[in-house]
Amino acid sequence: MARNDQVDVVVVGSGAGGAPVAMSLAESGARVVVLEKGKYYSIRDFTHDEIAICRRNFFVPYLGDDPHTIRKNGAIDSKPTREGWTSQCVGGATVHMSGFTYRLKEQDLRLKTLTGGIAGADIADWPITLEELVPFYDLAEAAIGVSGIAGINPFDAPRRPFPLPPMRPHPTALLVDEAARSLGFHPFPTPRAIVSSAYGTRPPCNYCGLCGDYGCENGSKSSTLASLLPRAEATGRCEIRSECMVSRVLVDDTDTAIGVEYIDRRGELQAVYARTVVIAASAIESARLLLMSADSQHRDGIANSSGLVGKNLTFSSFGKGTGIFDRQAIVAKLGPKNMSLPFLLRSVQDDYWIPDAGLGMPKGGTYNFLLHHPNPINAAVRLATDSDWAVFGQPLKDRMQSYFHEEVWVEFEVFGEFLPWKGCYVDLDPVTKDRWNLPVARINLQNHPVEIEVNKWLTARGLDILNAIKPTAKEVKPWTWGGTTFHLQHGTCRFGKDPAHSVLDPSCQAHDVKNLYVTDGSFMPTSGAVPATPTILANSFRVARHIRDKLA
Amino acid sequence: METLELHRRTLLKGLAGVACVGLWPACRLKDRKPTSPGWLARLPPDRVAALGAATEAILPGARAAGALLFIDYWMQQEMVENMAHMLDIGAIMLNRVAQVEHQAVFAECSIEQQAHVLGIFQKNAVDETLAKVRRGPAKASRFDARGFFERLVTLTLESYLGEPKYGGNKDKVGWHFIGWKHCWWSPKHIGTLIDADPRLPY
Ligand SMILES: Cc1cc2nc3c(=O)[nH]c(=O)nc-3n(C[C@H](O)[C@H](O)[C@H](O)COP(=O)(O)OP(=O)(O)OC[C@H]3O[C@@H](n4cnc5c(N)ncnc54)[C@H](O)[C@@H]3O)c2cc1C
Repeated sequence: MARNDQVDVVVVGSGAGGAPVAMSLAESGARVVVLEKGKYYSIRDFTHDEIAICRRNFFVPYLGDDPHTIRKNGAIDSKPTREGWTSQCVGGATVHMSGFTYRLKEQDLRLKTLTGGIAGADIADWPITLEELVPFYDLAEAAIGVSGIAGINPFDAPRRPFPLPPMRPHPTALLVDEAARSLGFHPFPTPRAIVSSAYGTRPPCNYCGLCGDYGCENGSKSSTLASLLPRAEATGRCEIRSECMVSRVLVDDTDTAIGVEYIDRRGELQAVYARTVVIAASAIESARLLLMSADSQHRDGIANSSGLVGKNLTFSSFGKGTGIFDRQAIVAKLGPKNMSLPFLLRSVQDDYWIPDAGLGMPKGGTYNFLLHHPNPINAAVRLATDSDWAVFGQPLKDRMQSYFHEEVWVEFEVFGEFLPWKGCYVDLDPVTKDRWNLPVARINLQNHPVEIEVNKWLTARGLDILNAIKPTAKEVKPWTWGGTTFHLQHGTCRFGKDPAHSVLDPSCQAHDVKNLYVTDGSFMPTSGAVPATPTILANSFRVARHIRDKLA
Repeated sequence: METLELHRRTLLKGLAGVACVGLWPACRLKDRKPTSPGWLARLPPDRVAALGAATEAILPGARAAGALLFIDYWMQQEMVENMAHMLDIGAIMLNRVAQVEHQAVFAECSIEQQAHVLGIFQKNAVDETLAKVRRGPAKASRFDARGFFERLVTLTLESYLGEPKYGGNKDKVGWHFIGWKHCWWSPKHIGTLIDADPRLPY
């Protein structure tokens, strides 16, 4: 395709929000261009080099020339940060995600109705039902490849069998099951967006354990790079242009989106014109793009008559605890078999809805039990930081010896509702510019106090489970609570029926701008109490259906 | 020629005397060979020796595993000027604090003395320590002693446990130490290690 061309659909971003639209529409006959800011890696680029991949700038941009800025807890000045970048490569953050794959529940979509509102929070019901999403969850799981087993989690809505059988867990899962059940919980195997057996041309997982933070060199992790984008390209109708930074959405006099402008890898300004423009650059970057597209007719950015673009930014409320167990004691109880397996794969959702806890919000969250990430440098640095850096020299080496040879670290993460409110939003930094001289996204972060309390409560319950594990842990400690998972982001262009209180309509088309859609996590008016990637994928398939019908 | 020789001697001195939290704020990776003379060659030998000794004091075995080569490699990447400057000033401060506390440069202190000096950095108490030999109250310098210490610990751990191609982890000594036999350099092998476990049907 020539540059400055006219296509049916232009999609900005190729991750969870962008790829399903691109694939579905290309497969249904539309000509699609995907503009992706990051590089087009192949699986040969994905190594186990912890330094290059996880500790420098393989997936996220250089702070020096392409930062976000952040103001925490009402601070006046912002400072540059890497927080809030999901990723920057073809496939987006699905390439280096961990792939824990949970669906939302009815309570997630009806929080306002069910609670009657939460003081200070700006929650809203979703304008669609869970029932409407379910077929698209099924579609998304089948298209990318998800491993799991249905029917074990009593808190799950009835669902279809997973496309693939569950992954093999580390034997310690038995101990977590036993402990959780002894306290009345109902543990279930965590579904993973990893293929447990061959799936199409993709080989089964080789259990190297390096999923989160890494690209999968096996092609077994179900990133959009491994699953949806090859299908899109195979149609011959979808072109992915990598290293293309979209800087503006073009809108004509009738408030219709007609294309986008972008800066290509040589630094030249280009444009693509399209009948439909889909933005899926991540919740923070999509809001930034709409705000950056301001012109004399739309001084506050496009699609922003409600003033809500960038507002109601939500992440996932986060807590974490660690139990340090004696490896020998576990082997004595369970035998040595499969002790080198990397995944624990247990989750608990008994505390998803906790009206009796008296916490100011009846919404709880999900516990995800896992083994400590196998990255050795990360682990060693954590051993140093755990002691406020006071352990070094031979004591640090001894500590490393124990960690790597004598201990098993069982951890849990809590994913809770992150409440939308006036304290958390994204806008354009008035001072800091990126390397293209464009204003960067400024994250204004303050957690709603109720959400912190709930998360603290959930973290304590997670610690109870760790404490109930037999053989008893040498140490059980909270790592954090009431925190923020920046790479799970939503809300900045919430959807709804009322143009005064939402940016997008229920089909994720902008109320103000015809033919402009936003399909990353921006549309979500509430965060839900699970990581949202399956929901973003499912919704993107749903929106694709809508666009397809319209184009036809 | 002279520069090369100086570099070699400086580096050897550092290596013989004794061997970052998180993520790097900014650094652009160039494909440079770790052994090319670079940043360390431009530092006076006593500072190189101090940095080498400090890496060894942070993690015994780190210096022999190539911690200085590793640091040299990374300080030659783009956009690390601030970090390089911090390490340079940090090396000077290590020697100053060692002189005040133990009347010797850092590399010539005993293991216990080095630990004591590093502890002063960890507690961010360098200004107070130097004030002992100055008249008047402690002056707050702009040097971030704690930040330097954390950066050096991180670099040392990275050098010991990271990819050998960056100059550290000589002969994969770090990986042998932690017992990574499979996953790190032979991921394809892993799948074969799994047996079905009837106790865990899912
Ligand atoms: C380490 C890690 C672990 C994770 N683990 C999980 C997990 O276990 N479970 C889960 O559900 N979720 C997980 N996530 C989150 C998940 O990856 C995201 O929810 C998901 O990818 C978000 O989809 P998105 O389309 O909004 O953004 P992305 O997938 O990040 O895609 C956005 C894309 O847009 C591109 N882009 C941005 N701006 C522009 C522009 N101006 N022009 C052109 N392109 C642009 C970016 O480069 C990026 O590739 C994880 C994320 C990370 C980083």
